[in-house]
Amino acid sequence: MSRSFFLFLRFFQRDFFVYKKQLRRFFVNFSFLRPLFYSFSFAYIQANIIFISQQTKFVTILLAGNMVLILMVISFTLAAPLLFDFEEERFIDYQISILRPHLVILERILFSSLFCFVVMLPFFPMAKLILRTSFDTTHTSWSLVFLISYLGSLCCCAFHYLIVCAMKGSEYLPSLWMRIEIPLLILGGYIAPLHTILKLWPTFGYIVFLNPYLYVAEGFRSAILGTSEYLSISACAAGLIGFSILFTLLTFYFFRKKTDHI
Amino acid sequence: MNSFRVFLNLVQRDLKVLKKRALSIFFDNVVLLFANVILFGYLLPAMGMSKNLIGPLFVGYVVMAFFEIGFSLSFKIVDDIKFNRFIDYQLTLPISTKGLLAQYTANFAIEAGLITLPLLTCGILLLGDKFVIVQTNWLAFSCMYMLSLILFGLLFLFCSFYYRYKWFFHNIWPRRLEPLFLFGAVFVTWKKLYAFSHILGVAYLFNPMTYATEGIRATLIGGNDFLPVLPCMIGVTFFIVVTWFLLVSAVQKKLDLVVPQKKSCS
Repeated sequence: MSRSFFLFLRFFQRDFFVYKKQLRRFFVNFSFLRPLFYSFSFAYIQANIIFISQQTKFVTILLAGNMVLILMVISFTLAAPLLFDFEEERFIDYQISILRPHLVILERILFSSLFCFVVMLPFFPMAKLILRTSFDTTHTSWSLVFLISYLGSLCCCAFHYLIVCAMKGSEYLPSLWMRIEIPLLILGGYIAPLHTILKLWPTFGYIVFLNPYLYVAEGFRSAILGTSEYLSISACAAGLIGFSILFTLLTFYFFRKKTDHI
Repeated sequence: MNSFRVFLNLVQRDLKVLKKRALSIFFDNVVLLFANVILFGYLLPAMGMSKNLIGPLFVGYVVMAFFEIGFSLSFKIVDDIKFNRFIDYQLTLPISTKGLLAQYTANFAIEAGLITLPLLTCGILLLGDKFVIVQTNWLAFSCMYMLSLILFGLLFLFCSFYYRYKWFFHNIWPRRLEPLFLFGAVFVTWKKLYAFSHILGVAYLFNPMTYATEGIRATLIGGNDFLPVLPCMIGVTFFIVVTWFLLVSAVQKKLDLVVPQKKSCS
């Protein structure tokens, strides 16, 4: 038990060492450029041109949606190397020979979620710097924003590891984005909040509760705006934890299927 | 003449490859089309977006599809340059390097046209009277669409040859492509942007995507809400010429082993 825990920590350290070298790139792309572009283009320009009334509210709605997009891209970027590893070097075979497979995958999910969380921490402060009064943070609970950020990271990382383990090969990557990621994003509160979807389709709309991205977007909106219009933080947190557990368990299954040759 | 025959053979080969992937591409795009019809036709109007913007923003989505198809093309070329080097065989064929680049561009234009034109048609049909068309100028639309496809083809070819393998995969979206479409009148119309901020309006004119998107909107939808067609055509043609020269220089740097490799490829 203690040996497994020790190895688990060593794997964690190894991942930290590998990604430390790429930290600058991640910070530039995800903590600086994307918040800058998204805040300016989506939240400032689009909110003011497309939605003529209630701009401040729409700024926040769109920003929260964009946060989901960023989370999705970072977590995918962190999970994708495993897919290429399955096809080429199979470094994973060495890892599972010294630590139990489910601990190897659990370590990757936990490390990726922490890394993802750290990289996206500056998003809202950057957005606030750019948008100033247009981004209403008077009722924001920053501790809840951080909570949703971490749970969202965990859920997205577990989801992407599941996809990577279940996917047949890297040639399906473009299809993954077009068939799964973008539709999930669009119908998962990326732009339209849950109450708009339910107002449009009162019965059919409940299907979106099966979309994990919905809980991230609604959680951010709820934590930032502090109104009861959106799903409550507790519902979002419960949804994200539930999905994280489900995705992790499914990842164990598919990972084992992919690595266990017997 | 021989060059032209090789050009046609290469196009034919690419079409054969495309035919094999057609069903998968079709399915990918149908899923995406439905998601975007729901977004532009229902969700955004329910949030308060004016119905007049549905058509123009849906055209913006088609331009976004050019980005996705272009990136797939770049992905293959960058991968080929790094690993398979099929391009080395192509360069030995009796066709000039410029001819080969023209063939790559033609391949992109055909593929993107075959994918996006049915998407656009189906989207318009699905959106029904939500997609308001004032007057379509079919001839101008065909020219504008073709010019836009050529521009995108050249742009993505340039990206494939100019940037290094790792840099391309890590940074091409956040550092090059996203600024191009986020600040290129894809998600807003230029006239509304100009009315909102004159400075931003003028700044967007330096982006080739503004001319491509607005040109397609102006020719397909018509009316006075967009940039006039002629300046759009001139703008796109200008950027095609500029990108062509940049592409030829990038290809020479990347593939010509006699010319010293400079660090300019980021």
